[in-house]
Amino acid sequence: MKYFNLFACCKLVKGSFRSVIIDLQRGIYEAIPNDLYELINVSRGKSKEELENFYEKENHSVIHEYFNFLIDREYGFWCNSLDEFHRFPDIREEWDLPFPLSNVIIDIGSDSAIDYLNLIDQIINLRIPHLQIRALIDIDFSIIESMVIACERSNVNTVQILIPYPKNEVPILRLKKIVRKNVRINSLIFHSSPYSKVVKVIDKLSYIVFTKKHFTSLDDCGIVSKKYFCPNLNHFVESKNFNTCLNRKISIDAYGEIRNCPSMKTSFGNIKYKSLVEVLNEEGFKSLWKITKDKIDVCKDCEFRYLCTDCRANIKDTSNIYSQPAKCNYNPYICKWKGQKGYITVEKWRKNNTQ
Amino acid sequence: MILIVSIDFDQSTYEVANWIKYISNSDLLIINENNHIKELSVTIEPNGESEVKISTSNRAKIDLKAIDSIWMRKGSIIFEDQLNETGISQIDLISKRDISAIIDFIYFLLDSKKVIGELNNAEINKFIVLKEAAIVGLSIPQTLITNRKKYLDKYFKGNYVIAKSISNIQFYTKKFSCNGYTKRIENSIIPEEFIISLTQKEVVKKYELRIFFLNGKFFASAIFSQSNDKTNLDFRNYDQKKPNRIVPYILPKFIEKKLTVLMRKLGLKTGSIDMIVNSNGDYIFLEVNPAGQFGMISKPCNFFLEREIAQNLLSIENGKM
Ligand code: SF4
Ligand code: SF4
Repeated sequence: MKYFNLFACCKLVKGSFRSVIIDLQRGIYEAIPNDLYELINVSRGKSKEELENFYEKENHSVIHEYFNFLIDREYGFWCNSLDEFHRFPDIREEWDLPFPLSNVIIDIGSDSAIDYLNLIDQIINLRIPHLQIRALIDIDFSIIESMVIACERSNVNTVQILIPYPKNEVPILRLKKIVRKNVRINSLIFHSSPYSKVVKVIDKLSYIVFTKKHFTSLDDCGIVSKKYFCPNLNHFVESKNFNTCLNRKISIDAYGEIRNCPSMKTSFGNIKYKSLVEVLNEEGFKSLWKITKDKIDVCKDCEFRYLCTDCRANIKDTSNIYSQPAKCNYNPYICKWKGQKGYITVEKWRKNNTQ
Repeated sequence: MILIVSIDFDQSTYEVANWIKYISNSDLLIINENNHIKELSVTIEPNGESEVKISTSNRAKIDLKAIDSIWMRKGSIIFEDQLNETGISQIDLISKRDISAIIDFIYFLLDSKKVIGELNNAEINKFIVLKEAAIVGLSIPQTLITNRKKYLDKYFKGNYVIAKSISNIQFYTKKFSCNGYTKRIENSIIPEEFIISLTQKEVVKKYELRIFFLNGKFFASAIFSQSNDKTNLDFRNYDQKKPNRIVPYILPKFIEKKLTVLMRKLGLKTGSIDMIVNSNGDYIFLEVNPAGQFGMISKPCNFFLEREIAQNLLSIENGKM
C-alpha cells in the first residue's frame, strides 16, 4: 500500500480562489488549484487504493495526474506503509530570535539635542543586529561615521546608510575608505542623486550606491509586489506568528520620537527623555507585532499571505488597524494584479458580490 | 559562568552564544585561537585543592571555579605558546607535550562540571563504534578493513562496495584534495594492493537519517538524496540548485532505546548519529560523530538546536523559561 507524503518543507496555503504550494527549502512557490489542495488534505493517511475508492471513477485520471505532478516537482514522495507515513511530522511553526529587537531605523535631521552616541550605546546593549541610519537632509557625514565606529566590537552586524546626494562634491575616495574599514556597513546609498551608479567596495559585502530616487517622503515604504515575496521558512513561520514588517522593529525619527516604524503616527516617547528599554517594556509597543496576516482583512483570504510582507502604516481603512495594506494591488478573490485583464479592486468586487 | 571551547568564526558558536545572552545574564567565555589563554596560574595545594586562574587575549580574567558549565564545541583550549613556535623542533616538541599535560590537567579539574561534548576531544574509533552498535542490536553494514583486493573480492562477492574515511580528516593542497567523503569503489580500477581502507557493502537507501542526540533527547531528520546522483552516496556533496530534502523525522522507540544504550556505552552525552533507512524500511546504523554538526538540520527542520544547547548549558528545561 502506498501513501502520499508531502515533504514537510513544502507548505500548502489555501486562498479564496486558488492555493499555492511553497517550497521553503528551494525558495520557490507556484499556484495550484484548490482541488489539488483538497486532494492532498484528503489523501493524508489514506492509501492510494482507499483514495480511489473515495473518489468517483471518472476523477481517477485527474488524481493520477496530480500525483504525478507532485512527484515530478519533488514536492512529495510515496511511503510504503501508514507507519512510515506517520514518521514524518510537520515542521514546528515556531519563530524566535535571540535578540529583543532585530532592526532599528534612525532618522537624522537637524535636532542637535539628540545624543546619537548614547543611542548607539543603547543599541549595543540591546544587541540589535541590524541598523539603518537615514538622513533626509544634507548632514555632516562625520556624525554617521562616529556612530558606525562606536559599533565596533558590538553585536551590530549590518549597517545600512541612506543619505541625500550632497550639495558639495562627493568625497568618494574617503567614503570608500570608511566603508572598507567598517565591515559592518553593507551599503551606503545616496538618494536624489543626479545619476545612478553602483560602486563595489568589497565584493558581495559592501557597496556604495547612487540612485535618482528621492526619499524626501517615506511613502516609498510598504509596497506590496511579487518581487518582495519571501518563499523561505523563516518568513513563513514568522508570518504565522507575528507581523512580518513590524515584529522586533523600532525607529527613532529626526526629532527623537520613538515609534514602531518611521511612518507610524503613534509615538511612545522621545529618546531625549526615554530609553529604548523603557519603550520595549511597554506592552502597547509590541501590540502591532502580533497582527498576523491571518487577522488582516482580505490578506486572510489571500494565498500569498505567508509570502508577502505586511505594512501597518499605510492601510486602506485608517480606522481599522486590521485592514488591508493600502499599497496592495492584488485581488485574491479573482487572483488578479492591477493591470491584468479583468482586474477589479477588492472594494468593487465586494460590492458586486453582496448584491 | 559558561565556557565554550571552539574555533574562530564558527557560526554555531556564535548562535549559541546569542541565545545564552538572550535568555540569561550569565557570564560567557569563548576560548578559541582569537581569544586564547595568555596568562596562567595553576596551584596544587597540600590539602589537594587546586586553583586555576587564566587570562585571555581579550583581557578576560577567569577563575576556573566560576565556571558552571562547558560546551566543547570544536578544537581545544589554546595557549599563546602553541601559536608561537620557536622553530627548534626539540624545544617545540617538549613544549607541545608539556602544554598537553597542562591542558589534560585543566580538563581533569573541569570534569566535575556540567559538560556538553568531549573534554579531551579524543577522536572516536569508528571500528569500536560499529562493533558496539552491532552488540546493542542495531543493524550495521558488512564491514571490512583491508589493503588487498583479494580480500575485497572474497568478502563482498561482487556486491557494490563503498570506501569511507577512517578518521574524519580533510585536507586540501594545490595538487590534491581529500574531503573524506564516502565513495563507491570501481572494482575495475582497483589495484591488487592499496592503502588500508574501511570498506562496506553499499546499502541501497530510501533516505538517510541525521540524528542529533543531546542529553537523552533525539532530534531526527530524514535526508532524501537518492533521486539526486550527486548526493547519492554522501549527502555532503551538496547540490546547490536542487538541495536535498531535509525534513523532521520521528524515530521508532525501539531504535531510540538502542541508540540510548549505545551512547551510554560510548560515554557520549551528545553526538550526531547517521543512519540509513533502506527500501525495506530497515534501519541501518552508520556512525556517530561526537562533535556533531547540527546546523545543517537545525534550520531546515526548525529545531532551534542552538537554543536547546544554550538552555542545556543554563540548565533550563524547555518551556520553563
Ligand atoms: S509598517 Fe509599512 S511603512 Fe512602516 S516600515 Fe513597515 S512597510 Fe514601511
Ligand atoms: S492581499 Fe495581503 S497577503 Fe495578499 S498580496 Fe495583498 S497584501 Fe499580500
